[in-house]
Amino acid sequence: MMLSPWPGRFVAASCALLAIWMVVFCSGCGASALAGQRAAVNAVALAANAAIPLVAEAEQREALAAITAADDLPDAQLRLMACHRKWDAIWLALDAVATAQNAAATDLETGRPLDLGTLRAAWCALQTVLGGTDVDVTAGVEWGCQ
Amino acid sequence: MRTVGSGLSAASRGLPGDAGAALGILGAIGAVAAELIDGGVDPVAELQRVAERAPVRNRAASKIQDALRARFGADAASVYTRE
Repeated sequence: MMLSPWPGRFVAASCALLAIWMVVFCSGCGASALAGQRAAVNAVALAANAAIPLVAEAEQREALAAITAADDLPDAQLRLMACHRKWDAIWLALDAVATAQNAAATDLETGRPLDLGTLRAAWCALQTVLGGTDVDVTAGVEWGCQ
Repeated sequence: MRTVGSGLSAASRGLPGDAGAALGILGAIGAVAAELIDGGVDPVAELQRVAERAPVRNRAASKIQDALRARFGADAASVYTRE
């Protein structure tokens, strides 16, 4: 006794339809997600690279103003120490962004699973410490930081 | 009467054959889909990195030390050490 071929054909047709659905609706999802991650990681590098001279210039400007305002050398030293402390925090935040960005870029280049949470946290920490300055380095990075 | 043998015989001509072919097609389409999903994104292409900031900050520090010397004398630069 032979089984009807129709159940098998039905399974075949179902599989084919499922496959077509997968291709139509899912192709590009992974690619666009990956492309989005790459764009975000690249944007952070570009923004941080633009920030480095701006931060250096702003630190230098404040330090020179502190020297001008000082009454004597000990006073200048105190003023410069305060300036240095403030900008050191910003440089450290930039270093954290650089470290997280390098790790994220390496993950993307080697196909390892990527979690952008660390990079985003470092980026937002940098925005926080830059909040008290006139340096704005948010251009090109679409992450909002609360 | 239906026997195991006739069932296997039917199975070999019927459902498993088609299902097997369908799974084969599905696998092939899946492979194409995987190519499409990864398509256009080269996983080994190099990404931008954050540049070294030390040279830029060193230049700024030198100018600050120059300003100290100019204002307070030759030895004054020693009060500003960076890093």
